[in-house]
Amino acid sequence: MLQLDQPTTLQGREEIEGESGLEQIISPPWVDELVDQALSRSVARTTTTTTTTTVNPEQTPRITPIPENADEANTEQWSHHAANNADTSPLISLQPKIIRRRRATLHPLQEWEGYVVAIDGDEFVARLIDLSAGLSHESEEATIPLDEISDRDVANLEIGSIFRWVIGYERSPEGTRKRVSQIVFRDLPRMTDSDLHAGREWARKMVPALNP
Amino acid sequence: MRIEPEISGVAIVLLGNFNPTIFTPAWFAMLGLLPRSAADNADLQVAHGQLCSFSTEWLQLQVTPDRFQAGTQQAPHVRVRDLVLRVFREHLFHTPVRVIGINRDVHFPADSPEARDRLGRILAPVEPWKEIDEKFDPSKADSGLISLTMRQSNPKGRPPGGQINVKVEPSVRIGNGRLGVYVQVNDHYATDDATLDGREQLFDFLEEGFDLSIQNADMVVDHVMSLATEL
Repeated sequence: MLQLDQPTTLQGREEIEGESGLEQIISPPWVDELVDQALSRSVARTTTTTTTTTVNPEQTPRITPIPENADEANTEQWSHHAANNADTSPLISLQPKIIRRRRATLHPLQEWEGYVVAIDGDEFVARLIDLSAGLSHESEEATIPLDEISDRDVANLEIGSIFRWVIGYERSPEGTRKRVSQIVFRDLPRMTDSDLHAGREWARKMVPALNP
Repeated sequence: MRIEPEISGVAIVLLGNFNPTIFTPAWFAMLGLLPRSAADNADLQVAHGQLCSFSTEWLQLQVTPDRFQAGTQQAPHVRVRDLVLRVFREHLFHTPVRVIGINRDVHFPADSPEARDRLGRILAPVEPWKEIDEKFDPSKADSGLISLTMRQSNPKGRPPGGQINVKVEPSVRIGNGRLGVYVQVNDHYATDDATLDGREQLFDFLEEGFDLSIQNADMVVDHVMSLATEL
């Protein structure tokens, strides 16, 4: 494989008509141009803060298996700018150079989907589906301290709330690596009238099958 | 995956007709799509009629008049799916969308430069190229594979109109130009139905197929990793 130390058409700068592939999501060059121009006009920038909860894996919640007899609950182009600018441009830019922040990557080693079955004082109980194992039914139950989730999630917590719990390695832009555990409550789309209608139709079809 | 990626992300791309002006952090907060604190602290890069681009702690969003792209490098990746569905099913339910892509992209280090060269030669053997011209010898250090894309059309178990594109390239972002491998899996689905029913098919695909699409993509990436591993 070719040794590369300079970007060519790689990693998101390819242009294929009608393609829905990922373009340069971090900073396509034409975005950089526009950003630099915008920033030079004093568009305000702010720093980013966390809104989800990163918890210490040393304090991971307790997990207990669910007994077998437990109740069943339950492309196109980034305009023509993309490939043709930058390196061969004859123009000398007098814009201040903006150094863009690389982002941290959290790659999941283990991921569960869970739903809350009980809230008790300063902890809640949830049943978990092990997505990493390819399961589609819950196989574990966890007791999770409320300290492990954000204040916003605590305020919205209720029985039935659905969340994802990820344990993995987070790599910082500087290359440091740490093991993290993160619980994120899902903002699922609201039920629509057509969803309810489809549910009723499904139930209507199922009832005769359950009561032959 | 058998090799831990150094950069790992998921992005959803929609092709259609969009108004970039509206996709600001404040709009997302006003509709309850992002927490107010996230919107207040978002890194707004551009808000313009031809482009809106901003990022939050986990989200990177870019919109042009014909393209909407939301991505993340922070697991759980399903947050992107949920956000896109909420935007287009709860609020922008008349916005034309004709193509959807679920994209997984990963940069990982090969075990050694030799292992990476072996990967390149498995995917694109050098022998047929040597016959063209000795000067065009991909086995030389400064020559070789720079990009390869394989396509599977109409994948099994899916409605017609889909394709899966797998791209493999040397990574320009990790491995000092010697070790890094970039793999992108583009799960692409289009519909000929230009009505709202067609649009709903696309979002049904996203709603029901996202997790499976990512699982399949991870299997593909893992297979490529297996070819870049020391024997």
